[in-house]
Amino acid sequence: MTPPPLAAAPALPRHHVPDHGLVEYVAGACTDGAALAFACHLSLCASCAAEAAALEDVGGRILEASDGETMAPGALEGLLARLGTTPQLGSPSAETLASPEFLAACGLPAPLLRALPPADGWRTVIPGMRVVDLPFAAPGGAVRLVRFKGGVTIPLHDHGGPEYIVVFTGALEEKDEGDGRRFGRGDVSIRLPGERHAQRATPGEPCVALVVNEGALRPLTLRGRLLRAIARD
Amino acid sequence: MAAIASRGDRAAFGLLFNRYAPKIKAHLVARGAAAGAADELTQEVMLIVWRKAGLYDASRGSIAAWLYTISRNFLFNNARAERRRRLEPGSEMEFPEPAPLPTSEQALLAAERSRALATSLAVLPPEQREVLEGAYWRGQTLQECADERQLPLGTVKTRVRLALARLRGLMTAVRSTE
Repeated sequence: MTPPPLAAAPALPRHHVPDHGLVEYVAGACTDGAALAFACHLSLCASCAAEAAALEDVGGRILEASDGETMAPGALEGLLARLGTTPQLGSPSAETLASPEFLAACGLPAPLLRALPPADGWRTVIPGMRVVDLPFAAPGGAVRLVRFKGGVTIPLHDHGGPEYIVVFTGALEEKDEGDGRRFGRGDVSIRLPGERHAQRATPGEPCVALVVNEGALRPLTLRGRLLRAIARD
Repeated sequence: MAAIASRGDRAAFGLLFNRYAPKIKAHLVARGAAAGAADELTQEVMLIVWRKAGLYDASRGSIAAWLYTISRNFLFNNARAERRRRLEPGSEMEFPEPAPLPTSEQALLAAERSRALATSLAVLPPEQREVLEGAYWRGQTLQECADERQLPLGTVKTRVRLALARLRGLMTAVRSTE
């Protein structure tokens, strides 16, 4: 597989995390999968990252406003005694990660790259769609990095639970009952149960995306049901 | 914070501890930490603060905001480890770091924040403050906030929006998200 091309000046994300989602993310009230998806979007979207920083400031003031709970006597002394054996981290530095050539060009956030198995660790779910599971719990669903072959379609389906997708390279287009939006690098797509759509990876280029499903997909077409039957989840 | 990071200044760390450890403990208790475990967990959080002091970036926000996020991440990672117990261990994964703020936006935010700091939480009407505290302090989703108060979700979202607008001096009240 040839490395997917990366645009020289990547467009800024156009589909963002809604404000109330950012509040829940900053407050630590999201599910694991949603939090991962939002963190991935924030890593690629300066606008939402700035918004999150402002929301964290609110968290700081709520912390500041707390009367606090008295610590047990000797807590500080006990902790100071442990500091000697606790190394401090240096400033953040750019890290270079060895990654398979096909992924090097995808611009994945470092923690995702680190979580990936070698190239042969990907498994085919349906033709044109290979996945690797990420270490996050998603009851009744899955948290995965997915590589769609350009042009692959996912037939019309509904969702048994919320779905969060963040695109890293290539693009996913909505089809049929979706509202025709196109999701490119950094864009986040959020679909709730009852919201149906079909998707297609833009032909001509592979698409790599984080896909979080907090419930099973419910295929609504014959082709979708056939794919479900052959899918190797 | 700089002294803690660059010189490993324990006296500075002690001051930080005395001021914030009780508040962090209160946060952990509000999130359901057992009274007996809260002290130990607070120490764990403060150890992370010690280790990561060099990563604190003043241009991103106040020390309290940073401590809040450390405490939140600690709670989140603990809960996540709990949920994943049945999955294979040793596959922990961190979250990606947020995108760097463009310099101009950073300056704008800093200015906005210092103005916002003058606006304390105390100015919020109780019903707005309650929903913020439900989310930020107790970790409720907005749906859970709504259920607990027997309100429509839309009402809770509106209260959050109004509260944030008020706190920020009505600056970035409406942000288009699509």
